[in-house]
Amino acid sequence: MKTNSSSGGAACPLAAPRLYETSALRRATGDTLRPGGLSLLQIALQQTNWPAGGRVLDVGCGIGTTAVYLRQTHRLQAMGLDLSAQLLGEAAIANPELPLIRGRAEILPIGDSSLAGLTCECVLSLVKDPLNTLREFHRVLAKDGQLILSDIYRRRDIKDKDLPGNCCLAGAHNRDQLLDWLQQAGFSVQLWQDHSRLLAELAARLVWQHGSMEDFWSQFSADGDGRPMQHAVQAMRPGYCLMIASKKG
Amino acid sequence: MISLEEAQQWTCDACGQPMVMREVVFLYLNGTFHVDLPACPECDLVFINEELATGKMAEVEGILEDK
Repeated sequence: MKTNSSSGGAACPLAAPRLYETSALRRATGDTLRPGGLSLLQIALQQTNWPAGGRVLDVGCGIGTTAVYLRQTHRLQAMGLDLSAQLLGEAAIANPELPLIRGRAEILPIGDSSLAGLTCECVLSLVKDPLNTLREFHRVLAKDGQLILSDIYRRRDIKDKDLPGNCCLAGAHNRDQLLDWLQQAGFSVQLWQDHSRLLAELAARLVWQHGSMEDFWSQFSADGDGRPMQHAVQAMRPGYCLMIASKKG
Repeated sequence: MISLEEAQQWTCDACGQPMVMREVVFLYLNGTFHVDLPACPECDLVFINEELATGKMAEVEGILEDK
């Protein structure tokens, strides 16, 4: 869960950059700032065709954990992109050799068809325009390049108006919508897996650390009331998914 | 959350040592959690109060069982 969009407002912890820049979420997620840590990336990497030395971009890289992992374990030329200057600063201090870019997922400062792969974990739900962001991912990938995508998704549809104002979970969409956007953007979907258990474990850790989910949400609510957010989450039944999509020739 | 003040009110029955707050790692419903809980510095006995057992753990159980 990293910063890559201005969608949502200060009331939403998942959209407010400051949350990612505090230890509150990191304590529950570890340095990857997402459910499951590196585990879904490791699953996905078994099904990718990225050659050693291939260029890969991690969109929403946070403090660079994924990019460093890809460089060290798969000998990829991995780079990181994030909007948060603070997280990028941490990444640069910890990994001076890691190429880092400050920018948005929606407008990548990357040439056409220049990447073998792209990772985007727990970020797409935060961007304003997911379809055009996926089109941007498609643009920068080389032919047959692969996108590893993981994110929160809605397991039960509720109307956006039923969500509290400035709620970034409004950016979580259902399975069919995500798959449709991938296809519209020109991708062929190779893999869809549900990993909602990882999100549940993250929520459980937040309960342990903050007392309850309602207490967690209340810390970021403008009026200090975490109940509307908690009710919306329960109605939406958010899950977590892993996808692999390849750029069609 | 169990406060440091509450933790210090308790003493380990076996060792007689006052409890201290410590990061405890435990398995619950197949999940691994790191939680600060009162523990005996001598024998590592962990103290879980009623509020934690009936409140927070019940919520965690509901989440992990996907209710």
